[in-house]
Amino acid sequence: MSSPRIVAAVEIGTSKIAVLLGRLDGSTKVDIVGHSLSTSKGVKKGEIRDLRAVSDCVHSALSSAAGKYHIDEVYLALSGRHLEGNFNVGTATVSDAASRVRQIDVNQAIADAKRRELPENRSYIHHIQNPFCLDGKVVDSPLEQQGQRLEVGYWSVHADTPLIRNYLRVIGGYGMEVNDIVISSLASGNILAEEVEKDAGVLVIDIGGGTTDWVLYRGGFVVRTGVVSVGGDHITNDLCAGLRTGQKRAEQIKVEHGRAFHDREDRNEKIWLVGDYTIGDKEFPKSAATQIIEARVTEIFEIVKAEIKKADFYKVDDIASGVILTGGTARLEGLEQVAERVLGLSVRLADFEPGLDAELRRPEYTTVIGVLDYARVDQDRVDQSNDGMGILNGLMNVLGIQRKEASY
Amino acid sequence: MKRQRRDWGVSSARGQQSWHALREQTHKTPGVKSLTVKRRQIFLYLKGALLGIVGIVIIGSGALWVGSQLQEDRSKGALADSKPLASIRYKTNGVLSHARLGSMISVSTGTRLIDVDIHAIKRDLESIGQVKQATVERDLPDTLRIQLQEHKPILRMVIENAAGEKKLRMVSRTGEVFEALDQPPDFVRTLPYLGPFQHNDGSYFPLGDMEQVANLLNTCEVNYPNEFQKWNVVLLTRYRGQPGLPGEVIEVRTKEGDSVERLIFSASFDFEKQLDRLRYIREVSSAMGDPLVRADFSMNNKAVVEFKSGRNKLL
Repeated sequence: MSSPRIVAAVEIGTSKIAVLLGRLDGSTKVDIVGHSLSTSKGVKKGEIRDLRAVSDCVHSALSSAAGKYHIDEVYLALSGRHLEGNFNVGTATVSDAASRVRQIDVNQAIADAKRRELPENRSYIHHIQNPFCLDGKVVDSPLEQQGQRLEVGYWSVHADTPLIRNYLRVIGGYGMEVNDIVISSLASGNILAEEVEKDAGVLVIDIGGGTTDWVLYRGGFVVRTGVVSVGGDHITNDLCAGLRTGQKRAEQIKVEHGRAFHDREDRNEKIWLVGDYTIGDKEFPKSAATQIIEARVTEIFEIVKAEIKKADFYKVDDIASGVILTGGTARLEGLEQVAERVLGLSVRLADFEPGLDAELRRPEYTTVIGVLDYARVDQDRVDQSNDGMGILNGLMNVLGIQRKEASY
Repeated sequence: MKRQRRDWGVSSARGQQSWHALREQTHKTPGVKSLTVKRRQIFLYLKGALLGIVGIVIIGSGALWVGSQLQEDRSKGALADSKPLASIRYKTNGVLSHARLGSMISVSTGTRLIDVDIHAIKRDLESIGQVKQATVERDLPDTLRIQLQEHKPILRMVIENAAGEKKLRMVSRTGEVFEALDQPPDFVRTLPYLGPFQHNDGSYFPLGDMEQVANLLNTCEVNYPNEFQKWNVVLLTRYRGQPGLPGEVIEVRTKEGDSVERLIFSASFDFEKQLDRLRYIREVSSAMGDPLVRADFSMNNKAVVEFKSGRNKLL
């Protein structure tokens, strides 16, 4: 068992910065030892616009979460419209005389799938493996099976290089390096969807402040991820314009009186614009707000649906487990109904692991909980790699030789 | 009930065009430090500095304690090693003889070296006017080592005590007046006499800035040794020891046969130039066959010269 390490999972969102601190001791358990949720500044639609302001907020959030602990590693959640993906299929002709698949064939297929070159200023974040196919049939593990042609698909997510650099600089300013980056949709999806749901097909939608991240599972694999640059903040902005009120009051109306769909009864229900009943304050029908909200929420789900359709994955039977909604905006009343209507799928709101601290049972923490879980799995890999290569690594370090990193 | 979930495996992109390559590049460029980080750094710096100071104090105290223990041990060791005094080794940069020095210090042979009061010896030696500084060391097991720095005389002077007795004293370049001990008579004879400046209260001491006087004597002795041999008296009656002030002159009187010359040097101007002018005046005097009586160099560019015939010249 390795020595305990304090790992920080950080999500730099458009409207909030979430930090979760976990102690990893090499076991499957993660002890959560600190957390903080603070307002974000300098981020728009998931992209850093003001490096200084973001650094101030992130460092403050890290310090607040860390308390007496010293952070050893940082894992970062990444979102934003700049995230894109491509699906690549790698192939290999089975080289064995007896047509049995060997490790070399597997490696060749994997390498072939990952070889696509990106344009300048793009960097890969994830290479997410899809199932192997041997002579066109899906196989769990192709090794030692008989066949002629091996195929494997990879959903590769890439991001804008200068933007990643900015994120690294923000964390670098705190005197830390980023250990790994996880896209937000993947982090949320993995923590919220059960294995049976992933096998049956499930869509996880995380509606944040500036963006909506989604991930689609099919047959237990991540087949697509995406980011829509519309989120809860856009609903607030619409309310500002539509009700001619300030940002703060619009947000308050959304949280206190907002509903994702418009109901005929809303015309009769009145809402005070300011709420202090003084001169200048005025009443307006609730329907004015709900109509605005419904329009925007509908748009979000329509965009997600269009993207899934475009990827040719919109088959109701293949998403049998339906949709899981999370993110701060998921607390909006009636969101499931709108999602169900637009997407034509069964929808449920995210629920959390039993035993999770009450304070962390909030949609805002979903992503960072997922990132921390990713760190736990990554930790196992690091530990295994260190256990096996410790002496060799030490020797190589002494000799100044750099070990070539595995490319899969 | 625990939710059924498989480990998802790590899908982080590595290798070609991976963001991990950026991490290396970004590592070389500084991150953006927020106020929080700067505050934390200052706090850590101050904490480090405080701990450092405390550490230094502890280490220093420890070192002092160890040092004192060692010193004590050494003293104890020295005490054990010490034997009766067998010899005294003298070293001086002057002329004081070992015999005289031996008579000046009160150490009896047979005394254990460790019992010799080296501070008292130092005091005794430095009470001798000619001794500038004395260093006394115990060289275990049985030797006493004495090193001296002596004043070197540049002038001599005659003083008269209350009983009217006249005594010869030496004057160093730092203005010290002391009794000549073991100075070779031939050397003492070459030294000019000093006629000091008399202060308002009637006293002659202290002598003011003898360094400048020593410079004049030294320049003459080195560059014009024949001229220096003629110099008999240095009169400082118009020299208060403040060369920067106007009217500060050093008068030298030479004596050759019955004739006495008065040479008046400015304490403010370059002595080499003044002495070179004197050489020229002597050549003129010789060519004219008219002995020199007085030469005044206090005008800087010209010297007022008076010859035995009564003629005055500006040269």
